[in-house]
Amino acid sequence: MTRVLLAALVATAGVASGLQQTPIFTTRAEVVAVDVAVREGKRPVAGLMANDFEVLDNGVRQVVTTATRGEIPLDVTLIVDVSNSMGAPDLELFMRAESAGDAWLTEGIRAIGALMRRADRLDIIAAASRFRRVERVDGQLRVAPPGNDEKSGHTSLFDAVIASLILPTPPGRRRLVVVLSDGLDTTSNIPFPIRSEVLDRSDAVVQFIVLGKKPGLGGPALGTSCNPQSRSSDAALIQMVCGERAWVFRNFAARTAGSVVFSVTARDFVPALREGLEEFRSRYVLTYVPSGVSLSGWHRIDVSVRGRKNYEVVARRGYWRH
Amino acid sequence: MSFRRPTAIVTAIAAACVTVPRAAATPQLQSASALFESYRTGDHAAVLTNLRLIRDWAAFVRDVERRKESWSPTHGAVFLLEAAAFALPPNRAMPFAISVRLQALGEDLAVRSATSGSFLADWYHAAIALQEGRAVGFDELPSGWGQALQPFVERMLERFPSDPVARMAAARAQESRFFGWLGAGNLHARNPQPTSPWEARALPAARRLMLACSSEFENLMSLPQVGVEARVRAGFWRLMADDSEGAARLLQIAATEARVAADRWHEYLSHLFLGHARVTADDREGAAHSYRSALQAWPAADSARAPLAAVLFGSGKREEAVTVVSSMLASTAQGRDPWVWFPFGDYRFWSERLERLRAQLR
Repeated sequence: MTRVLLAALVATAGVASGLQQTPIFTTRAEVVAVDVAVREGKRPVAGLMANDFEVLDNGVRQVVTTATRGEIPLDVTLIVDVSNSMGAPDLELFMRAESAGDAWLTEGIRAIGALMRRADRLDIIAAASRFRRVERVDGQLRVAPPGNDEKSGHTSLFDAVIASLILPTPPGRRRLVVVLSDGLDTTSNIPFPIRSEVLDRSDAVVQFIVLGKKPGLGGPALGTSCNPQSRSSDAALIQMVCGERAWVFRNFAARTAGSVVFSVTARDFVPALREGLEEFRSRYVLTYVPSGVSLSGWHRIDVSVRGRKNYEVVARRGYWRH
Repeated sequence: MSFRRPTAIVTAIAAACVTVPRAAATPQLQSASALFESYRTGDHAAVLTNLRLIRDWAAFVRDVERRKESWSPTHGAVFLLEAAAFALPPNRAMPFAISVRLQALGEDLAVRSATSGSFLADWYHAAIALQEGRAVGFDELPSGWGQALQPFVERMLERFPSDPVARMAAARAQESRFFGWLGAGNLHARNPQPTSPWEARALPAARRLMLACSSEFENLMSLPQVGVEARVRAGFWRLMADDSEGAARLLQIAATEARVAADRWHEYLSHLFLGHARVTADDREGAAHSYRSALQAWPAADSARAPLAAVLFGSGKREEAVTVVSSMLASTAQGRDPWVWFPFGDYRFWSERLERLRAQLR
């Protein structure tokens, strides 16, 4: 999978302090950075150089100037579904969960914190019908007090993901959005066409970790409703919404070159986080200065490894320039 | 494998959140009749505190069934409505079926009270709000919200055939199945193209039903008190049925009507849905304008802020989009979001309608 980072006229890469590495962006031209996962079977492939890659930008072959792997600091946004169906009735509960020491959720947040490297940054967003940034104050999680709506347990999960994708990735960093949810979205409100536009224009990669027994079926109560064998007269509609949810996850992942892990249990949650993060770190970031292509509009990208057709190469489908 | 649920925390927080009135500092479990007597004398707070202690609601219902004939019908009707409200969040201490049964027993008493048509109509209005509030939590919608509301509203309409509140509730009972099965958000934000063969079969049927739903509301647009809401809902279902032009026509009028009536709730919703209609029509500037107008009417809502940010971002106005998202993530705004409450109809009036009933008992 991949991400595209349009580092438009970035003033010398803001590589995080403490790291001795060559800046990957320059001020001289508009540089395109592309996240690329290369695997042989399930194993990531290491040791590739810039000239091992072939990149087509709108069908025009480009000169890959750098291929960096595992060195660029990460901005990880963890979106945690704190709606009723997750067992966390509101943001207030989420806020207090850590001090009470009773939440697998908190364990997960600690785990992902432990997986961060020195120059990495972790941002947590609590999502219910509203989504709010969670702050850490004196070791406690703090979030804006919930309004009435949070108490009623709705979830605008997909909107929260889209909003997080709008946030910019600082120069010299890569951005991963990890979404932890049971998949039950009830109040997302961003119309489909503009949702797709954000997915295509963002430079972040989305990884979903979907808790539950069946793919995309939501929490226990709705899981029952989503049974395709239901004899209800509305069975077709039930199937539609269940299928739609799974489709949305896959669509988000495909458009951002991310991934979806379904049916994750509480026990598997932290390993899934770790695996996702390691996979993201194992990717290459290719950079090139586009040439021979128009400056504006949609740019389709095709990435391959020269002479290695057995490698699976996953990259974002393209990027937008205005 | 099931997840470890922080039940203990939920309980602890719920307990901490309960405001116990001083008069009821030492609650004791009491029979339904004893609680009713306290209620009749006006000690509402103490009764509510004691109701919270009830664990065996089935036994409580049996007790009510045995005793209610001796109660004052007016007081009994309101008392049972208050008890039925324990199905509402954040308490949620009562199964759906028990709440419906208590409400039905209360309805018997309300009808018998016959002190005035006004009391009975007020009781029905409060009960409608309660009934729609029970559905909060989308996973419960399929469990019988609309199905339970429909016969109840029909009984009210037999007594008050031209009551606009009841007529709107009847139309909302019809629409509830869509919210239930599809989820309001998924319905709107979904892929307009079928993603599977069975979905291809289901979509046209669903759209026909949504148009029928819109027509139900269009028939109510001239009614006093509920006309603006009817027009907003008619526009919403036109939009859902892929008739964005028809939706925009209705919603533009609704926005004007709502502004004239100083009804900011429906002004917000009109502009919000109008924004969606304009996205469908590929008018991004118009959509952004509509979302901003929605936020002028109801600044605390996020449901227009998120699509506004997305439209701006998609139009290349990245900095503006980031500003909108950043302010949303840091917001401490409180209060209701009309979109989130949209599927739940008159539930937003529950507290004031109950208070109106209580006032009639004094």
